[in-house]
Amino acid sequence: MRQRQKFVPIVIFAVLLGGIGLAKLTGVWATTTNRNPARYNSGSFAGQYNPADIRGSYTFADVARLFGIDEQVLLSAFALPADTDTSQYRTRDLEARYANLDQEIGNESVQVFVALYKQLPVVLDDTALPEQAVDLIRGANPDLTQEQRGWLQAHEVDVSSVSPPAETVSSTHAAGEIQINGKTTFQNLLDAGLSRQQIESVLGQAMPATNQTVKDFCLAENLPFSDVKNALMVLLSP
Amino acid sequence: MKPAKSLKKGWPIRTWVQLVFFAWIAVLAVGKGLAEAGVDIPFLPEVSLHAVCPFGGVVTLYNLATLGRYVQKIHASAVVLMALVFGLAVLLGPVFCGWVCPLGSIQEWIGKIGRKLLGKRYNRVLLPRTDRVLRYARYLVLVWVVYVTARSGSLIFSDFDPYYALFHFWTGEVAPTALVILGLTLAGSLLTERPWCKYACPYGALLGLFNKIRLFKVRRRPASCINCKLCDRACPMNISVSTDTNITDHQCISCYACTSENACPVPDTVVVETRAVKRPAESGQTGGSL
Repeated sequence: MRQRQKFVPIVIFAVLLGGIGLAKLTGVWATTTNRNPARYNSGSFAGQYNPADIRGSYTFADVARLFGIDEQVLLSAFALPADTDTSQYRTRDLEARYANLDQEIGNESVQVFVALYKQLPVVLDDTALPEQAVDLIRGANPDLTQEQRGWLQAHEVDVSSVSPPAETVSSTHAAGEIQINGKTTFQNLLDAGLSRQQIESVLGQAMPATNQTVKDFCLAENLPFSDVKNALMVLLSP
Repeated sequence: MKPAKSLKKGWPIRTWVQLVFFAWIAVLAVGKGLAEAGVDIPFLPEVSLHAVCPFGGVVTLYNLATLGRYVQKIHASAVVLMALVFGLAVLLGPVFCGWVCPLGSIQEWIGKIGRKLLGKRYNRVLLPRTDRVLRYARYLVLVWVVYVTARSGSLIFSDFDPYYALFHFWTGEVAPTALVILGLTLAGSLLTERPWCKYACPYGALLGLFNKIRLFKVRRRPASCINCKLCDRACPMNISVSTDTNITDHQCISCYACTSENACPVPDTVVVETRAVKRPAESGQTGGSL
């Protein structure tokens, strides 16, 4: 059988367009990151989304959709204007908005808020929440444990004095400076100058494959990502 | 022997196909840049180039197999495209290189200037032996890219990738190394045809292997061949078509330039078909495996 030149474009377009169409029909085709967090894999919450896997790239609209929280509740929890575009505002944008505070309010704060608001298991770490968020949690979750009540009291922050920038700003960092986020792999840490021993001292266990992200490892091992991140950042700081 | 066919006017169909894909990728890149700048273009999907690069599918395979996750910036679409391009390669060889890849296309177009400047010396600047050895360098690049990506879980190659640089050079996101490699590639195209494809492209290296197993191969029929060597001269990858019967060279890009539909003046002599041509037992025209 012969293949003439004039039929090559037909084959190319048929295979590529047909294949893409089929992939779309079957739901395989995705050109953006899957914005579904990991699920709890055991216990009475097995199968539900785990707020600890909310990524800094998730928008407030993503969080509202995934966890069934009203968008206005999320906005008021983090003292954001009611007309904020939730489809554009990412959870990590909070860090820039509240950069002047002593305590950090950012993606981890959203994780804790969602978990406590929806009465889901949570590892409480060294992050902070605006007073508004704490009030909403107390109103929505009457079953807070004594430990959780104490944590909320110790980590609530008055954000009324903060005068944020008008537009959404992502934090910027000096060139060459590594920022640990949900995409940082262990190889990235090694490349940044940390030794395997230093990383393992933070993890308290052996380092996994170097292509794994720190965040995925923390989730799998039930380690608080923010604590691990902070400890690693201390090691990385000059 | 039938007389040589007359030269066709206008651009060949392959050029049109290359233009379509080049324009499509350029539009996607510009659209993505505008979307990130807050300018919304109706009907234009906001897709990163990583999402539509089938080589991304190759480098993420290890991560996908070991961790169930894609490498940073890579999505399912890249894996789908990888599979489709492999399917095309099983059928027709690396048609992706010869007909689709925008980086290959732009090298080819710049090469037309080089051909005018250098004449017959164009595409013959290296000593044959040096050239032959360097053709295997792209396999080293392939192994390196797959290894560092598997080890780091990051798209390290994007810091060296001239394809990414070509469509993002204005964004400030491109690493200087990638810009330098792009510059060398485009400048080198003035001296030789498709320098990146020949010596460094990791994806071309992988797809080139399909030339060994593709169903439709380039075949030369010695019985009607007049040994004019026009097929050799037409081949952008410097493959010596005239000394073999079934062309399985790993550098073939399935461009059809050598065939009787283009360079070969004798009908039905250099064709792309499934049926193998028997090599004459005693013929001065037969050469070693390319």
